[in-house]
Amino acid sequence: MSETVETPVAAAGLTGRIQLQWEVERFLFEEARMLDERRFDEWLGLFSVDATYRAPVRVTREEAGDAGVGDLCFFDDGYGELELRVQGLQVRSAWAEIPPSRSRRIIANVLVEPAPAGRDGDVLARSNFIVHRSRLDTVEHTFTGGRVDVLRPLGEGRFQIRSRDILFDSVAFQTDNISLMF
Amino acid sequence: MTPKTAVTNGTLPTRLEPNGSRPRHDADVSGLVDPEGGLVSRLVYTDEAIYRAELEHVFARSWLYLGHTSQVREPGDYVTTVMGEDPVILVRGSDGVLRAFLNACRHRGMRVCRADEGNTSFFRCPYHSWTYSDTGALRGVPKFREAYEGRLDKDEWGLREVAQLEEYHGLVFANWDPDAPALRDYLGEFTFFLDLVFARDPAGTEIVGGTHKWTIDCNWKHPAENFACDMYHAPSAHQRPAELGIMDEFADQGYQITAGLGYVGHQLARPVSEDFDTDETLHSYWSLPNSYTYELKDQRKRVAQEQGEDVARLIPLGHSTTFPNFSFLDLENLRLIRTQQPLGPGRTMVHQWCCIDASLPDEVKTDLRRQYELAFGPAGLLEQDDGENWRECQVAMTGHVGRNLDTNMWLGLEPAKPASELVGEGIPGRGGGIWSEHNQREFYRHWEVFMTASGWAEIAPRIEPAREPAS
Repeated sequence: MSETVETPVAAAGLTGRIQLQWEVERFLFEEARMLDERRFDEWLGLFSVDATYRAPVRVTREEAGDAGVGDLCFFDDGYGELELRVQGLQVRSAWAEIPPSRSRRIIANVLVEPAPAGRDGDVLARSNFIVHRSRLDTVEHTFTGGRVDVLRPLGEGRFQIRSRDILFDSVAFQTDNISLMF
Repeated sequence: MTPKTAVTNGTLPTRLEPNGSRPRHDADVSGLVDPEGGLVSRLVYTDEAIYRAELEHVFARSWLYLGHTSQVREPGDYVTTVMGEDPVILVRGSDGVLRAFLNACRHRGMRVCRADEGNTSFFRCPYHSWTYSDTGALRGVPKFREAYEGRLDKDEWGLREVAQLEEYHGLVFANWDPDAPALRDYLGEFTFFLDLVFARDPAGTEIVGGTHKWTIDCNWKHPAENFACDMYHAPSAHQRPAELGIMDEFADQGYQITAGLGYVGHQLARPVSEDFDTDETLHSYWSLPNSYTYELKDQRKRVAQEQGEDVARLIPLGHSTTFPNFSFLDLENLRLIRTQQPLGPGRTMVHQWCCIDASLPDEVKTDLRRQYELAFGPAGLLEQDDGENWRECQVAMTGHVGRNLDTNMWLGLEPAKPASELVGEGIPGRGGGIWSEHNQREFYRHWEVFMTASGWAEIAPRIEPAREPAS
């Protein structure tokens, strides 16, 4: 981040920062629970209509310090694509998730920062995730990665997700597909 | 910059000798494949000995896809991939020549390159620092004078190079077998179809940076035969996009064609003469707005002028596999290319790329990438369900009883017709209609030839008796 602007995070004192941290964590934990409980429509409702949801492929390169991402993505969605995916998880022919997988999301290392310049009032939340999928009696898959969310505070501890950038750790996924959301 | 096209044919003296004195991996596959009767034993998907034999008889003799020239444009550019289970480096040497090497140090066998891609002038093994140039030559050996002088001839111990490497419209293939025919002869009449996809744009194609890689717990032949192409699965396996309203019901008009060692099939798009100036999709496969539609219409019009309406109507070409494990999808909303890399009888690594016509406007390229990701990336609304289905095929055919049953390939089990009769004048190959498993039967006929022949001298005449080599 190149520039720090006056936001609730920067301006708040310690008590304010602790409250914001608690509210963001609480929001992310509740969100994870929605996905684990397959409350997909409720989850979609957390995103703004101009939201972006992106996860690039990872690439191993020799150069130290290389971010190691490609132009290709797993997700490069706007709200419309997210809506399709969420609907797609709930139709009768979603074979990859029927019968449903059991998923368990662990969200951790939440760090709240001022939002990027030009997003006054928004907060930036970094988090790590471990998402485990247990499927039928044959499949145990684990997805790990980090996320950077831009959240708009709506008051009373509620937030709207304006963008989510997902950085998976895997170059090659040891999974038959990616049928979960992150 | 225009990619350089110079290639090499394995000049190092250390190429693989498939008929050498090493132990052979043979498996008795007699009676397991009956292409005429449309039956294939499920042992071909599950048996460990057959799998080991495939690595030698199929993967070490076939032309295997390594990468695209747009990924290795400059001297020193490299990508790493696999051929069968062997790790391979594809590198454009400082002399501009494209080569491929087994990614293994000749000293103690470690991978000398552990990155996916990059640019380098040398490969240094971390284990003992044997160092190879980007042309594969052994250059640096620590303690050479003290411990190797007079014994180790560096010219004999370069990286093991593939026996043959060739490029076709930017697609780079390699072969470990020096006796294999040239790539164009291997592809045979299938070059007609590759031309329609990869040379449709005079500027050629390019790869979006990055690879989708994921494993599926199934035999590599499940996805290979599916892309070959199994139109029969689409209305069932891909009912999800239909339920979402982004894919309509399939029409009964379509084709399955085998030509040379390639297989292709699709629903038949409307005639080019009905390409009006609207954004109406070409057929029912994808009904969302799509900026590529207009570009496709231009391409169809141009091909119609040059090669006739029947040929142009094949665009977009659909689903395809080239024996053994290279596949593509050329649809009206995306194009992907992929390989099914074997990792044991019950495990496959997919490498998949988004491949786009080079001269398209940037915004159309972006649309095509995103449409590919949404539909056929590993998180795609269609691809997700394929992975589930193939894994469950493998689960249910691995037991003693399951593996001794046959897989049924009776769909459209009639004598094949010439493609000129099925689709139109000037189209090579033979096949059936959209509801056919002709191509899968041909795939296994070819597979049996590779598995039972002692070498290319036996393979070539048995693949296609009356083949005319492509010019």
